[in-house]
Amino acid sequence: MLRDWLEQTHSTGFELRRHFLLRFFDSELVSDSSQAKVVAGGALGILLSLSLVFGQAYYRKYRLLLELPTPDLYRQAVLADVLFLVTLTMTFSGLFTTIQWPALFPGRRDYLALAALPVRMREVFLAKFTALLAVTLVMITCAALPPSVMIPAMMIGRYGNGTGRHVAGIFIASLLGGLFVFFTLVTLQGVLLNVLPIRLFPRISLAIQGLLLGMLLAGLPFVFSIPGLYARMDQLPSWSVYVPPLWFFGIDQIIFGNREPTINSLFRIAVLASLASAAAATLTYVWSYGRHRIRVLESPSVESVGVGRFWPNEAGSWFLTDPRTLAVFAFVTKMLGRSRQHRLFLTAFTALSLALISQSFANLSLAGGHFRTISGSTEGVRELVIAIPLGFSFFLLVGLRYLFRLPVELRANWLFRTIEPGHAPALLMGVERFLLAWGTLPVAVLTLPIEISMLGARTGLEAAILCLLISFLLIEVLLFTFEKIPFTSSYLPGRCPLIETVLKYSVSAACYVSGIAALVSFALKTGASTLLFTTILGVGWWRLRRARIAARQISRIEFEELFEPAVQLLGIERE
Amino acid sequence: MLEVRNLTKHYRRIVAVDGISFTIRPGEVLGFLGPNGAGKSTTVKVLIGLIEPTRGEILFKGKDVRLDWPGFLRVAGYVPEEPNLYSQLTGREYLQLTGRLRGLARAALEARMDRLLRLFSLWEDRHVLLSSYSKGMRQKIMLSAALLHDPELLVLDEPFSGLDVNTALILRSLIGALSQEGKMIFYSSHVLETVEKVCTSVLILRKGSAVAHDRVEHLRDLLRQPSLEAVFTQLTQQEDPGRVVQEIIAAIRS
Repeated sequence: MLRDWLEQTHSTGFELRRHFLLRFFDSELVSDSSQAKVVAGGALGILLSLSLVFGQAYYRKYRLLLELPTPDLYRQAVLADVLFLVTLTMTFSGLFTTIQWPALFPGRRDYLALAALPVRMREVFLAKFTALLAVTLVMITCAALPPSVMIPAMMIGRYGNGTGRHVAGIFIASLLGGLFVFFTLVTLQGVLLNVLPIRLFPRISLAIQGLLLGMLLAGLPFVFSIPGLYARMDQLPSWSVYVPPLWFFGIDQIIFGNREPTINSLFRIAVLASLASAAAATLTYVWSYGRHRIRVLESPSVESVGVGRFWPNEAGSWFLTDPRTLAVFAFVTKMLGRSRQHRLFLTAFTALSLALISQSFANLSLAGGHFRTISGSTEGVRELVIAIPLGFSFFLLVGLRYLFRLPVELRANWLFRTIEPGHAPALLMGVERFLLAWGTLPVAVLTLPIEISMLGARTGLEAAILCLLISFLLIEVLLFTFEKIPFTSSYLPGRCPLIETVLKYSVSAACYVSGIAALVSFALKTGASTLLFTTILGVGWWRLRRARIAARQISRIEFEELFEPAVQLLGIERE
Repeated sequence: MLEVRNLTKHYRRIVAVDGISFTIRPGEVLGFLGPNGAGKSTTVKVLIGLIEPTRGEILFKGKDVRLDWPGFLRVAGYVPEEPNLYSQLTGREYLQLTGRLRGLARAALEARMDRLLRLFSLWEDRHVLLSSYSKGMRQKIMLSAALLHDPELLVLDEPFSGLDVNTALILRSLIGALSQEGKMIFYSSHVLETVEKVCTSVLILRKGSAVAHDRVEHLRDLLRQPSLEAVFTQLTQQEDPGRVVQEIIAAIRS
């Protein structure tokens, strides 16, 4: 019945909304559309597993708190958890809106595609805005509703009452908080769209998108540390009126019946902020409707590359003698610099490494809820300083290897396919050189001052050399089975189950960063152990590299990702 | 000389190309014709090594190209039907990439690239991203990339697509001049008038099989037809255009 109804043609507005809703999750990176379902299923599975783990942990936590003789700690924990859930939803909304950043307003493609159709521009804008709002509402509700119901249910006990109010409070506060973030970001883009010259907009918009993504990802560990701030929840500082999650925390508290003056003012700010952000987003949409289409369509679409941007290419030609190796090196550099999606992914990986490192520093300096000065003399700090280059190079190298799998204009790869026979080793050498030049050396150079200032000149330099050698080894491991020219192969995100990938990378990151940092710290204790460790690493790297290059002589470059051999033999594919 | 013998390509049970054979001698331009789905693009892709043939041989100067694909591709230039380019590169960067991948030394590459960019009137736009190029400009870049290494064999798939009148005239003359220089040119197209003017011989495909392979004037005489277009229509058993037009009009009124 519903299916039949959906298959019918409806009003223009309905059809436009249907079009925008279906196109929200389109990606040119994935060569097989069914793969998106596989990945979404995998992500849902991980989310459910995590919810179970978190749920159990929360259940135990509140059982213990409910057994305490006084309710003080219980009450403080509830407040901290409410703030955590509200902040988490706001961060999720921010991440979702940032990822959807290029699709927040109708773009050139929409205008051109719909130009020949009898559709008013007002209808296009209205449909886009309402479709966007609908998707965001669904996403925020999905993120906010389950914890809003589950967590208060676990709080039930002799100190816990008013569960219904808690559910309503957390849900409404999270929903409004999420919408506030969404509307604010839409407003930000709307203002940029109308104020900036059209020629500059793509670059600035991309930079802002990257910045937002980096900030949100790097801030995630701090969001997850909010439950640990329970001791500070009783007395909110005066600057809390400048912290948006606390505004919406005020909504929950008002619904719960708290009438303290600070909470009242936070509540008022939250309501005002919600209304103002929604009004501002609507206004920017109306503003754009009037002039954006004309600005986009009537601006020259010619995009030039400044001559000053050729330096990476020129720099590459100094140390790469084979033109084919240089071709791949320059190609990868340019594509990574110019592909919006690839740059965004790289930003995300860098933000993750930044988050990991800043979280470790925060843990060390905030031990026991009090700030303390960090000095390089303790073993923990020493390992942490060594973990900085290791963490950055791990996320950067693993991130780059992942990015290399994502295609850029797949159909243009015929150029490499026709050149590849007989030249695979020279072409793949370009990939190795790129990783060496952009994945290890900048990290070593940029982190060297930190190592020297924290560990002293000699130890800092030794640590930098050891970390550099370790990242060379990592390159060998990452490239051992990688027989592709970056961005030229089709991509099957569901080739490997998501849970397996996440587990593999999480465990590898933990082992690589913390395990090797401890090992390097141990090796740096004496001159002899440092020399021995350097020699082992150097020889290991050299042997591994020789083995990889020998294997490459007989290999062919892969231009199409295939399902795992067992799946192919059975003739079944994951859907 | 390029010699293709009994070339066959199956996609599972579908026969895309069925045992076609032809030869292109130095100085010859072979026109490769056929309606949509006849197997032209498949043949071109097999020739350039993008797909493997199911059966058949490709000999270049008497040697099986499969024994030395890199050697064969080093002397071949290719202009694909669709201008699939890396649109995030500029026109000059794309030529630089192609030249480097072909192993051209820097000095020679830079000089040739810049001359071709000027000659194809792309100099002013050389630092503009290919995404901003018009179809004709992209086609000119493809042609420049195919000629950059002075190939002995040119495989051209609809090379006139999107070109302005002036460039089309230049290209037509260029094909003639290159053939006089002893280049072998494989020219696949739907534009019969151009084929008639630039090709020394034609091969007409129908449902994967060659239905004619001869010099244009021989075919015209043999089939007693006034033009290549008439020869083509007769050999490929095209539907009556008048009847199809009537059916289209009926369909949009239904």
